[in-house]
Amino acid sequence: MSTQALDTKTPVSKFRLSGGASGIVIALIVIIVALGVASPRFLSVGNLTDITRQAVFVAIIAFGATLVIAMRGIDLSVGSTLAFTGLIAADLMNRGLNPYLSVGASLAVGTLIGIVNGVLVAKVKIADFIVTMAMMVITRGLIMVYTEGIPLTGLSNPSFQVFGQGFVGFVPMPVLVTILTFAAVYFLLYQTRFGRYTLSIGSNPEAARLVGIRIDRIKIAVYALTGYLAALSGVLLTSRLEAAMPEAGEGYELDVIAAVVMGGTSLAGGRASLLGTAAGAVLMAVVRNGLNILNVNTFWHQVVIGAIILLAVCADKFGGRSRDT
Amino acid sequence: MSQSEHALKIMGVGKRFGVTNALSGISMNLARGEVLGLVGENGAGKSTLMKILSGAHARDEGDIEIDGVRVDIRQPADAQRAGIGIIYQELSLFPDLDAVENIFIGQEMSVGKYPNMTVPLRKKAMRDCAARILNDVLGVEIDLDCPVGSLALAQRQIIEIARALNSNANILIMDEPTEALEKAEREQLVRIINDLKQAGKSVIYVSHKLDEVLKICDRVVVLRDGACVADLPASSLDVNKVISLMIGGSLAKQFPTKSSPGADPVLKVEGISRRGAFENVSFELHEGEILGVAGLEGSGKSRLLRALFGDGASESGRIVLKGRSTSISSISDGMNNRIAFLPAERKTEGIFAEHSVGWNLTASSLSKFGGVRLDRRAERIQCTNYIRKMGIKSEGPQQSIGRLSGGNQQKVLLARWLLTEPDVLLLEEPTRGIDIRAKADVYQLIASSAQAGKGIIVVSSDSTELLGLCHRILVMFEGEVVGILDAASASEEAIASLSIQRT
Repeated sequence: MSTQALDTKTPVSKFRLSGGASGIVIALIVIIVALGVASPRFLSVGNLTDITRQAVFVAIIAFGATLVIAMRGIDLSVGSTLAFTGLIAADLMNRGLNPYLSVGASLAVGTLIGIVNGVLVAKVKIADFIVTMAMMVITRGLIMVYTEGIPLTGLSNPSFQVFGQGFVGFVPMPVLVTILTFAAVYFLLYQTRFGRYTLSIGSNPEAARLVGIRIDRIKIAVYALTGYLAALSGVLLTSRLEAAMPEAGEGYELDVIAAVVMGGTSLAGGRASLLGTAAGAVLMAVVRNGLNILNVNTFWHQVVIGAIILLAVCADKFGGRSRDT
Repeated sequence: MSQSEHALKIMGVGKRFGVTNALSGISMNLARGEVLGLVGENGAGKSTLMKILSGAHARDEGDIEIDGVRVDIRQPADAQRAGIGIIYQELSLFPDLDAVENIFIGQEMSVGKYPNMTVPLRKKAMRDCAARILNDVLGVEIDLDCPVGSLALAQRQIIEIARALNSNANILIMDEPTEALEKAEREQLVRIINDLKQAGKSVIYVSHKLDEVLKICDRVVVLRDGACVADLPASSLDVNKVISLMIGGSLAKQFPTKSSPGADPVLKVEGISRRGAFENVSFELHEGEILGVAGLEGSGKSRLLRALFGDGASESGRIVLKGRSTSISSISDGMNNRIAFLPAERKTEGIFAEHSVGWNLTASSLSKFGGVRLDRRAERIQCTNYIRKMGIKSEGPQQSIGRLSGGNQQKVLLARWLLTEPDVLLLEEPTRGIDIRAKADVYQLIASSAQAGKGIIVVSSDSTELLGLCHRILVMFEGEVVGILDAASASEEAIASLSIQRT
């Protein structure tokens, strides 16, 4: 059956999901059906569009984070990076800079934050958890210093609005961007040396070093990619809200990690399922939306999300996907 | 204390995993003060049997008697209570704790009658007791205060033995105890085993090193395909006889015929040094030559080999590759200079366990397969070629490497480096922990690479292997080359006496 079969991703099974990922799809379907039964409003076109819009911001970042986690890394700075880069785009435009240049600058800053993370992790060899947590606090702090907690509004330039609010045919722009991002990261992860090296590092860092993989470069590139995607998400969100909110993206780092892990990418590294991540991001949005529709007290939302994350990690641990010896 | 003459009696023990019979109808005895050798190929059931005795697996059928009393071993605590201690191949010590803490782990002495986790420990008493076991019973000097992670492997192993003795084990199971030890340390272990025997302890000695098994043990039990095929006094056996019992046939020849090396040096090393690792090392490696490197652990042999690959590179001296002076300061330099390196630790430094045979095979030569996008078709074809050429037993490139035997994994790793088309192959312990047939295959593959004109350096702690495989053997001691022997006229004794610099 497999004409190009080399690893677990054969052409036929390219879109088939590995053990963990098929679990998430089943979970997703079960939850959607349950919510559909519980509230007729849930399956309305308007609500489904809402869910999709919510999911994309997390999904775009989670595609990058999939590589980070598959490499045995972690990135907690993505939520703050999203807000910080969104603010930069908004501020530059408010100061009269061309929207495209503003967006470009914002994406560059996001990439730069990723590079700094990557250099500190790969070259200075500080634990990724500490580096990205510090970066999360620093960037959020800078936002607060600059805005004093007040949103930057008045982004009415139509050529900026199109990023978050426009349509191509009947497809909303943010959804289109998400699909394109998915395709690009998918190609990178499964079709290139870069992806192979990323997974190799996660699978066995010492062996990776001894086959001549430049681990530091790959790590920096993966963090840079994630920073870039956080900025992309930040631009879309800012454009959609027509405002840069100081508290935008708060808690996204957890949603992103949850989406990746629920999607079947192992926290132990070495394996990644990008399609699973996409499903994970949708699941997070579905659950939040469902809780709203069912009028569950907002304070309970966190409890439910936390429980889902724990469940996903348990499934990862006991789902027969323990590391082969 | 008991009237039974047997310390351990195993009667018809069997174990199934799914549909496969890992063990069936195993019966054997172990007398007090006896050293029993347990041998067999990988997968013959040795480790399953040991796991049953140590409580890691529960048996499906049969009975076990200790000192004439039937025992039911279902978990490690049961085995400990029954007086069975196991010394694992991969040491199970806590590297950050010192010797005393390790020896008493889980059975600390504490103040008062009622043991409780929050009662103060009797540190002095534990220390004295540990010192007594190590110095008096085992006759070794070990620093009791330094974390065991910083001790030599042989000392760590002795601490494991001390731990077993401290828990009143009368039956000690040793799993490949000398696999990673140097000759002098091996001799120390043999002495300790003899002392234990005198003291009435029984030992089950599991090893691939058959000459050693025959020397140390009183009796040898051979397992094949989960069954016991021979139970004979060691004095009635020789290595060849044991091998044919193990494989159920005879092995044509372990080492291939040596072809003569070419005249041109492929690698010339002139006075290279790295502080704290090796000093002023010079040698020549010719095309088609297999050069062995012997020496104790810590003699610098592995550091030298890795330095030639660019991992912990040399700081001074000259390296000439095919007549061209070059510098190797990183792994990329090594690979660009067509040098290949097979590390000793297959699991931690070699394989990508979650991934397929093909993935593992091409890991160091992916740039051969397409530009931006990997050409997986070409990759698969190449992998299939190598799998056939190297005689790797697998279902094909897409099979998970974790499912292969150690010997086949090693062949994949060797293929990984042959695929880079190297001029120089650096092999560190190329046959560690693989079974006899796979060893012979690996030797054959090394010899045919040499025949193809590659220069090969083999670091090994097995001097039989070095003598059988290599043309010349370079011996290191404390970072320096103390001799280069011609394998045809050298002997294990010559290597050993050079390695410890005693005449």
